[in-house]
Amino acid sequence: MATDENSRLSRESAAESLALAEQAQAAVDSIKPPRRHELTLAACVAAAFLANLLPRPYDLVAIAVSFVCMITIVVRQVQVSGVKHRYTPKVGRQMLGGAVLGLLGFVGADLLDRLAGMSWIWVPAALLVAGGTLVTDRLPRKKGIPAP
Amino acid sequence: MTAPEDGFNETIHAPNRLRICAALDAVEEIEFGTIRDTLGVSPSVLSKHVTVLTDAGYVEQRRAVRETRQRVWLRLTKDGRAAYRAHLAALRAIVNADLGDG
Repeated sequence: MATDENSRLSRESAAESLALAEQAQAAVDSIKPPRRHELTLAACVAAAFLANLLPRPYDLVAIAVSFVCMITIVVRQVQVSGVKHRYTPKVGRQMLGGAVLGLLGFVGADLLDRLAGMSWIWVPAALLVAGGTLVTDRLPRKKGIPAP
Repeated sequence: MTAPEDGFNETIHAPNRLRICAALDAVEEIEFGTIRDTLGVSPSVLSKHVTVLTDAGYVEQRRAVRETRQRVWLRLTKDGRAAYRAHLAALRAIVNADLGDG
């Protein structure tokens, strides 16, 4: 009887411990950088595309400045939020896929601009990648405690 | 063959250390001040438990300067992550044994 009681208590204790772990993990998962960071990042990505509307050599300078801003914002995001989130392999693949699509979009818009003289294509392309950046930045982080 | 209960880890099981490991398992790296605020523990309590976990080889610390102030970043080691997950499996086994008994 006493053994049953002790065993039951240890099971309750185990369940409480699991709940504690869940709460701690959920609290950390909810840490996000301020919203202005993701908006600024999307604006920098769009600026890198829209820079192609400028005459040379200003377009190259503007693209370089946009890329430096992007990297600065990403580094600053981590510093401000005080956390480097761990991404699941699936999310990592999605982000890589997004980057490849962005690059293809850039090359495609560049081709259309040069070959067909469609310089206006940079505007929809910029809006598209800025929207894609916002979605990618909000991709779900790893949630819940790992399954056995 | 090792039973899931064998992963039970006394070092990790203390409530604050379990919460620290759970928080660290969710991230790549986290700043000392951020985990302190998130878990709602005092700096001395957090420091004490982090020292225990560091001595056990489960947590490693990295110092970095930001805005002229030194910050400490914490992360789970490979052994720490494995030990934490084994501990979770052991806890689940205990809970599930209760369900299995009906």
